[in-house]
Amino acid sequence: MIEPIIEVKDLTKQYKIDRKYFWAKDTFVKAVNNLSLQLHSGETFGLVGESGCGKSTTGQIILQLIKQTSGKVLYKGEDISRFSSKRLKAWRRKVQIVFQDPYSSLNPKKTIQWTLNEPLEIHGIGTKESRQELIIKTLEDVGLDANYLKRMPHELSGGQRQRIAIASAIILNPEFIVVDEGVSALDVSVQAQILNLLKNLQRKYQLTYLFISHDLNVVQYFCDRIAVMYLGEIVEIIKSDETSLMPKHPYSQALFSSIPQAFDNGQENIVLKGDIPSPSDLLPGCTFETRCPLAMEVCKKVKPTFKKITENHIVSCHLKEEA
Amino acid sequence: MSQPILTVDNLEVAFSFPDGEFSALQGISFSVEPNEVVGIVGESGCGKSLTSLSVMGILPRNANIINGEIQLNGKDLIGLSNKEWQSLRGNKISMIFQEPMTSLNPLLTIGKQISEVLKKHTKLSKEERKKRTIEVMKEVGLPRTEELYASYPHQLSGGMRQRIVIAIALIGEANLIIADEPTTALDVTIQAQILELFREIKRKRSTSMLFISHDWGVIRQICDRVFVMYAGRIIEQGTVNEIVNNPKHPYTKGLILSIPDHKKRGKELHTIPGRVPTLKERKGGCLFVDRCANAMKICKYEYPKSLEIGEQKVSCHLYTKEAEVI
Amino acid sequence: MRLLKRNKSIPFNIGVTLVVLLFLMMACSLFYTPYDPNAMEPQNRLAPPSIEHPFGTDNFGRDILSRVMEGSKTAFLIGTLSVTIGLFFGFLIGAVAGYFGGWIDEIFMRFIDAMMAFPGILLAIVLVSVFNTGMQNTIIALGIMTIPSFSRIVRSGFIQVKEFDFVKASKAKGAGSMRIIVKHILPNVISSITVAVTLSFSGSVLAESGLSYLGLGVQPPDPSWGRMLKEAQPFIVSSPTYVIITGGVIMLMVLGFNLLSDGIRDLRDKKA
Repeated sequence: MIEPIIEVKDLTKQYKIDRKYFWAKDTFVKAVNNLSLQLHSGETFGLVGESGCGKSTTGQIILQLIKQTSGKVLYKGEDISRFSSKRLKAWRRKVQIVFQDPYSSLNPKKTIQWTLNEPLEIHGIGTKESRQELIIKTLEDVGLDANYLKRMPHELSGGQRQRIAIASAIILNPEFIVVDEGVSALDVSVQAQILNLLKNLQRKYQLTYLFISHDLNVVQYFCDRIAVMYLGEIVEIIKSDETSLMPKHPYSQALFSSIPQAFDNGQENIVLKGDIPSPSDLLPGCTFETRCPLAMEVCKKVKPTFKKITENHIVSCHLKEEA
Repeated sequence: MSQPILTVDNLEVAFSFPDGEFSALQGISFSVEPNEVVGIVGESGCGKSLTSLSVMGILPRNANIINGEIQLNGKDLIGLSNKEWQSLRGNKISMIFQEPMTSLNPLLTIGKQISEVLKKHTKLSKEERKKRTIEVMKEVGLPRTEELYASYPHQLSGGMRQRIVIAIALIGEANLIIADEPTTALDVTIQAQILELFREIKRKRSTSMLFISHDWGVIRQICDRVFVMYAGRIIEQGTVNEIVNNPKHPYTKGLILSIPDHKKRGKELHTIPGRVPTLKERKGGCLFVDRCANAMKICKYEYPKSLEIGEQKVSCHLYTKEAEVI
Repeated sequence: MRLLKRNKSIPFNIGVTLVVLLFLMMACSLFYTPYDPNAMEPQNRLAPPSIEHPFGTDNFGRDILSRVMEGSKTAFLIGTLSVTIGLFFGFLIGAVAGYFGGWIDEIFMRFIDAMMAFPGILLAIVLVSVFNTGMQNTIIALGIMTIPSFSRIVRSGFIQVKEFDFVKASKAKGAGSMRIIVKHILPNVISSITVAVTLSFSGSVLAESGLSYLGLGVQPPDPSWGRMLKEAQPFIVSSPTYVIITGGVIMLMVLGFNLLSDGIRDLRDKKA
């Protein structure tokens, strides 16, 4: 089997909560809990879930923008936390990130030229002329041209800013890009342009994407495999097929059925009761137990483990263990 | 004959900037019938929120209504004094905003905020107000109402806050509720709950609603009729099913084709080239002409009239001839 | 200049005019004063304004205009140097605390809290009385007095900008801390620092006047507006022009810098 480009093993990130009283004990909340996944070269891996489920934290830990509490991130089999600072800097050329908000992902005080030149300067790539050439070529890659070089971010529309953010991510010729809600803040028609652009760039440069999003329509369209997260844990990893998705976990089922569809597809909505509980008061059992319409006695006490449904489909639910 | 709750006729709103006046809404005409939910759909900057602010009489300082009529229950709204507006808002017409956190006052209890409307518009006693408030809180599906009555917004989740905002909109028994992207800030499973609540309100109460959204999926779940806005104009209107399944205007077609879903996997998404013209770039003629694949000569200098095709209305020169024949 | 052109607010322009005029007066005094500021004319004590002495004379018969001009040197010198000291240390502390956070932040900020527990002017009085009076010590004391406000402003700016996506994106591209601070964070906090600088400047001028009024600040023969005010006080009834003019100059200086900082803040808010 081919080695995964990125492998995450038992990743946990916990944050300390402010103490209510000075003498109170430190309490921790787990933003990401024992998470494992593998990304294969050239695939688009979707990470979906509702706000606060830890999907963005996971993406940022993989890029080492946040340090994990425990667990490992492997790049082509090597533990990146063992990298020397020099190695880490070189490695950063290979992995990039595109953020959600096109209004905060570019430095408002710098020209587009400066923003695109920065990564080349950091890694000392090329001469002044060859850099300029590369910048213009990259701008063309994202559907813009040299006329944008002198502009400031506030002179551009949301879609154009997002193109610049993508350009500054691909200019170092990376292998792997985390797209953190990269199209969520855009209008549908602009979103379609950016999605097409990402797909074309993937084909052209053999990119691997970790696509983090709460928009399930986009994820189903764009991703090859989808991991559903709930309260810091992956509950299901499923292959996104041409035919409709057949999620097995009750949470995934509810999540996917909740998407309001523009076209009638005869599907019935599963409306979940209650709110997402705070991750600080979790019980030892299944995290979804409090809202699960099919919860059983065992779910309260025992954490379910992953069961393989098919080669590309795993689910963590007690219902599947019985069957 | 039943009179429409809201009629807007040929509304024009312009922003005044130091370098001149720029029209942001033009020729907006529509009506909302009793017990009907009308959707406004369009992309950011198309004027959908501005339309709702005009109806509420809370336009930004530098925006002015320069033409047209707005009538609520046959009563003219333009030119009302501040006092007259205040007696309307919350009572005859109420609004639900997108962001449930900022539309509630963090320093007042939930109970106070909901019952404030009653205090202002009715002569109910304190106990009656509380009773009524708790009833409405139950109606919008809030649990532990007595306890919540005395709590503050920050103690609640986003979904619960939005239920509170909806309760505030409902308690005055307004004839018209304007909801501006009320589920956009919520998570999908919470959005599903709130949409369910809206459907229930629609069933149980005979409230009319003007529902603004950029999400066709949400619009389809809630609305009877919808109109599509582009660059400050209504370009197409009709029932939701007609428009989604059989859009006439090239912009609506493009918009619907560009919605991603799993059936389009592996295929390039449809895109509309170019971008929405800014306020200052808007001239005569059809404003979509530069992005339209079917643009003709006439589109450049003449704005198309609104044509009726079946129950749909569309403003596009492509249908001029066809419409004449029919 | 660009700032001037874009800012149409009247108060801001008044501020700029005042500051520029006072600065010109100071510049002029470097080369020329109508009289020797220390020359006494005992026969002409406490004279009202006249053609020879436009602001009149003081209780030793010295020309008040010349003394005010001479005092402006002290005001600008003390303002500039003490703000520089405060900015330098305040920036260092604020930047390090804000950027790195964690226990470094905790230690630095508790230290700043301790400083802030004393009213600024009291702290300056203590420092001056311990280390002796004089120009140099006054500057140092006033500089230390402004450290807490600078470090807090810089720290909060750093904390805010550090969380922006473009900073994280730059980090993901391999940028080091130094680059992120200098190229990404600094340009985005500079406007709030500018506001603080102008505000502190007027604060320092006022504090110096206060110290000198108490006799703890600048010592003779160095001229100082605050000491002039103290000297004028006994004659407030008999010869009010002396008090009005010295007090007025201090007020105009403070007002000028305050209006200036308000204008810069408005400009920044408008842009954001």
